Amino acid sequence: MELTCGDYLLIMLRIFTSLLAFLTLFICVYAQDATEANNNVSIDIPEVAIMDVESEGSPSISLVVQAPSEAGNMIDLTAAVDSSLWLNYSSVRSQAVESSRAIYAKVISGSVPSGLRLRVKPQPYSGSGDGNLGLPSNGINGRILVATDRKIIRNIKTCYTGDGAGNGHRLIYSLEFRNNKYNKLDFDESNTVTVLYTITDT
Amino acid sequence: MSKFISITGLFFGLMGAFSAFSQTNPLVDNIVTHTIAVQIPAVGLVNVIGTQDVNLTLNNPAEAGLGLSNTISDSSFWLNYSFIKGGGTRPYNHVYAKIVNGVIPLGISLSVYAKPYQGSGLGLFGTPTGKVLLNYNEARVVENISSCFTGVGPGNGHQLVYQLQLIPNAYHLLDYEQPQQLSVMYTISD
Repeated sequence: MELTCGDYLLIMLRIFTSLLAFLTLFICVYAQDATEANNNVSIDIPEVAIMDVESEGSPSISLVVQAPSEAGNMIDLTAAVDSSLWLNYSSVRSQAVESSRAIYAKVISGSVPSGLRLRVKPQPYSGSGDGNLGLPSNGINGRILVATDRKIIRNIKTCYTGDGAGNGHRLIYSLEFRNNKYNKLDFDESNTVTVLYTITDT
Repeated sequence: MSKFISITGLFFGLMGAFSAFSQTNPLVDNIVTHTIAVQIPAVGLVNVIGTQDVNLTLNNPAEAGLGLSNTISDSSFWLNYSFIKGGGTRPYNHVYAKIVNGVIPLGISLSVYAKPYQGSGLGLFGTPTGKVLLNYNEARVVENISSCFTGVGPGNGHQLVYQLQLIPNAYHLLDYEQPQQLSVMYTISD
């Protein structure tokens, strides 16, 4: 009688299954009888570096400059402020590979209208997280956002901020005048700017 | 046999699951973006601020045989304005003046000019056009104003200087019973 491929496969499967059943039985018996047992438990901790911008409302915000009400006064930037966004992140680092992580921000599309600067002030961490959370990288002054990366948060080790608005670092966006560039202001340059945040090793 | 296959399948499935669980590739969702709309308003405001009305009287002759003469007054009025340009839609504005109430007495003309800017503002201020006659049509007093603000109140902006002048060959029309009060309106527009 010649055996076909299928027959070989079937035999192999049966042998394998029997072996598996036998091993399972052996382990059960061994476990029952032993007074001491050694087994290897492999624990893997994943590397994590994830981030999000959260808000109670829309993550798309507006900074609206107010016109003066009296001739001779300047436009008013005091209301062109938004503090509705929160930076959330989770980080598990390897002490050997990266001492800490940092978050950078830059403008990747659109441009801040001439005569103005866009500042973001990340606030100190607050929320329901745990671990070695990051610190605002330039204290209370925050950073002017431009087209190249500016460090916003430094010294992030292994931690998580908690999820959603109210957790992490509140982001306060504001506009300010560029020195002696009032003449550059142009309402035709009202614009939408996209800001990119990156969490990365330092 | 189907039972064997399903058990074996389960085994390999578990192996696969375990293998996936123990993978050590980093979670790479490490960027995020959001948008910010920045809105700048169109602004065009003008005001004239002064401490007292302008009183203009032709100068009396110093000696019999001479005529009345022209008079000029640095008024207490200052032109204040605020402007934000639209680079593509209205890069500049100008300030115009015209009489909206009252009549200039016969035989004389009334003119105004703006002094160069001074004050606490910022930006690109307008340029005075020089002396212009006031009548019922708009006359440009300050031109080429770009984004700026003059500051508020006397001492900020352009001081206005008014001048009464005798019209040549019209001396006979002068009539001392014809004092007039005039209102002059200033507008900022393109």
